Amino acid sequence: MHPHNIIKAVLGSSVALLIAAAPLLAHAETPQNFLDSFAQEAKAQNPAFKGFSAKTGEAFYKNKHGGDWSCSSCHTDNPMAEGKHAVTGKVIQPLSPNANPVRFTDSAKVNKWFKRNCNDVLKRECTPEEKGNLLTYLLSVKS
Amino acid sequence: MKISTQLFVATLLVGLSVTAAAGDHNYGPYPSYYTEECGSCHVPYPPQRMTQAGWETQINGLKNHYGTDASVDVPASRTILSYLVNNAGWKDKLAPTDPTARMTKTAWFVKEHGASAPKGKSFSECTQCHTKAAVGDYSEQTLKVPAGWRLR
Repeated sequence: MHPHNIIKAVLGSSVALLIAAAPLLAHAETPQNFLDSFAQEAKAQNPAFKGFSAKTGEAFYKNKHGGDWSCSSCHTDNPMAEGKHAVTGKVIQPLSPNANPVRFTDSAKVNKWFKRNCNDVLKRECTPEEKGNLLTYLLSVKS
Repeated sequence: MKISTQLFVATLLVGLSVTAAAGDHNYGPYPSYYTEECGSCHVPYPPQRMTQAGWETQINGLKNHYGTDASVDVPASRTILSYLVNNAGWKDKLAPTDPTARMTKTAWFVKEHGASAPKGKSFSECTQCHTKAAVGDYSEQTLKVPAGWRLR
């Protein structure tokens, strides 16, 4: 094969690959990416911010915050387990990325559900520190 | 080539879902954005089973959706509403009868299901009896009601 043709073939197939992978790349975030950006935001809000705590995250997850529901009302006391919607009973896939690898890989979804669910449980938005503590807890649960 | 085939199939599916006959109790397949946005907390409900007015009330009230915040962003809610409206029913029995447009309070629903759900179950999660409701199949063959349950 003429070298030019080889280059053409390689270029052609990599372009095709890139196009095929584009929808995947759009959501190629990891839980660590979220932790990093929550930490950055927490630091911006509070210069004394020292880092996230799984223990504080766990307490936050199980607390009803003065309302009717906690995170665990639907996601159960064990975030590695399947949950059940408190009203409809629909099965909810596990919240911890350790049990369910698609969790915390898509910022549109993460933002949507924090917005909704924080409003349901706390009647307000969650702070970056609360989100980071929670995710740290979710990642710390192994079974 | 691959992408154009996918596009073709996607277009075909959307076309099918719009033209699906309602007489067979089969309302799927639903577009994936609909299942994603309106099928997380309950199964996606068949657009054919309520009127346009009912769906407009539902979508406009998502911020407070029966005690939970079910809000979606503006572009998504526009897409969803136009899908619902394009496939909405028109008969009187499909019209909302309460201010929040609960499908479970429409005349057809009450006639088919009675006014209250079987003990320990909720009308909002259809799969408890319509076992294939997640994909829009509400046929008799896939229906499994609790033993001894009768319409009241």
